[in-house]
Amino acid sequence: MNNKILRDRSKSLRKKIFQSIHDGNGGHIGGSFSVIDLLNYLYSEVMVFNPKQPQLSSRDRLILSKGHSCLALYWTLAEFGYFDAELIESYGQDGSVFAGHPEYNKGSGIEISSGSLGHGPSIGVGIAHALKLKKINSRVFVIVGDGESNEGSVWEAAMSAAQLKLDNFYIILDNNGMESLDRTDNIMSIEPIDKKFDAFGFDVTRTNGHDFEEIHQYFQNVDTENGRPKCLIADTIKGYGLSFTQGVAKWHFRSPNDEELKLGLKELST
Amino acid sequence: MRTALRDSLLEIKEKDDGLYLIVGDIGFGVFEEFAEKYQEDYLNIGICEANMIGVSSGMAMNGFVPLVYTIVPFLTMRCYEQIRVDLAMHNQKVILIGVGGGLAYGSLGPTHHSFEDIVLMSMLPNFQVFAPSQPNEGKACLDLALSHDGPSYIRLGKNGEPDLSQHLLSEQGGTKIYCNEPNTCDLLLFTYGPIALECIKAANILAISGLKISVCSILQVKPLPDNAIQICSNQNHIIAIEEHSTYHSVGSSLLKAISLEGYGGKFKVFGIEDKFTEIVGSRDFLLKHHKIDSQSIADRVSLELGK
Repeated sequence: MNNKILRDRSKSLRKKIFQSIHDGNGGHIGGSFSVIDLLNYLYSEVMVFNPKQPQLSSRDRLILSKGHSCLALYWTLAEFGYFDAELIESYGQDGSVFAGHPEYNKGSGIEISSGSLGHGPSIGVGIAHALKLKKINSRVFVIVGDGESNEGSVWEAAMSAAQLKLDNFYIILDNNGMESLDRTDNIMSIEPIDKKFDAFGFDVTRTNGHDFEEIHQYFQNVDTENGRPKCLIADTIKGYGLSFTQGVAKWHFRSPNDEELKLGLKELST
Repeated sequence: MRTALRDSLLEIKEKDDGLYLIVGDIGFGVFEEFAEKYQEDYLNIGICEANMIGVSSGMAMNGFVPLVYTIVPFLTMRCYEQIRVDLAMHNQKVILIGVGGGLAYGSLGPTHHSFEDIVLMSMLPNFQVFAPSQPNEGKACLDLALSHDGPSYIRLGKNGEPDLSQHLLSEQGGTKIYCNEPNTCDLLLFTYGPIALECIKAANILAISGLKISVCSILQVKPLPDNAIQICSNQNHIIAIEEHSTYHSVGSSLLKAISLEGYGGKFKVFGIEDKFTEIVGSRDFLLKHHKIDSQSIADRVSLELGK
């Protein structure tokens, strides 16, 4: 792992996300910025994939269940060769295939349509179970939000994952601590989330979701064949990476104006 | 009907190892043989319908053809958004099999009735919808669903539905004509599902008074079969009999389809009015309560014909 390459790539991806949200007249900045380091790390260091063969059965699957952070996924997939970056420039425009939430497309690396929260974990369980039955040694990474964990279906899926002994199934919790209108703790607290997943039969690790060293340590040590699903609780900061978006509720969904764009791109370039 | 479908499933499974059966902790006495014979391809996932649909979608994305079985309202309404997004939007080949359609679980109370499911499932793009009326239609349903490259919904009754072959005049695909040919009848009863039996009985009651009633029963309710549309377009007087809400129904879809073909005759739908059935009773009792048992249908048809 090269920390500097990862940091530079995250910075570059944040710039692209910020520009797209400006040009597309809106988007979920906060959640895209909290999850981008995780996506960057997974595609850079962990995932087995080939953009030239996007349907290869032996690929690892990544499901962005918190679909509102789609721009982070779009730009990551473009970075790793799934499609031309120019295509994303149509985001938010009439006729674009890049919606405000990802749409399932067998050739694009987008594994499922998400946007309605709480669907990804169950689909991921189905995929992980199918892979086990077919004796395909691939993993399924489902990125879930902390607000999304209010959904009961997340916990139905968690019970199934443990029951089916899916040690190829990972929930990666982008725990940025905020929902749309307020802090998660003030709406419906999910804590102690580590104890909850542990009680549901997961191997749980808690880490700083913006610290590549810590994330790297987790994936170096995670036991992949013990019959237990995995949960990485990645404590993140909503809007991380820009001084004026970090932890500010109004940047959950917003389009930066021209002045904010200029300021943001400048800060992300330093 | 459910045991007939089970037998068909066992027969099909012998030739198709991609089939995978998921049940939502329902099916006592139905799937034991399947579970025993195909342990690797059977899962009682528990009481978690939303999860059950998502899991089936994920499995379908990876080469399995999941059949998902539980009671109709839990299968269709409890997890409607999962069906919409995970199955319909992703166009996954998953076969939903609902048991207890209509008033089949009459005595269990209104939580277990279903009079909205056919329209709800028919509204979803990519879905095909089937409603067999008798046990021997189970295999035809499965074959049609398996030949469809997308999701399907099969609405079953419960068990003990009789074979209707003795009344059959003709059939084309899943469209069957009973009692009288449509081109010689005074009125045509259009129907689907186990209530076809009540229609046939009503036609026989009315035959005593010299009325010629034709019964047209369809197996596939979405899309409506072309041959059924053609038969109905050439009638003068149709009543759709449905174990379903009359507010929106297959009859509504039929009327739209035949209007486009120039139908100008009379048309009515007899079914479950726009309210929950809070009174308790057997299916036979509740059909009578809603005036869609054979005698009530006969009486209402007589009135319609001014006889």
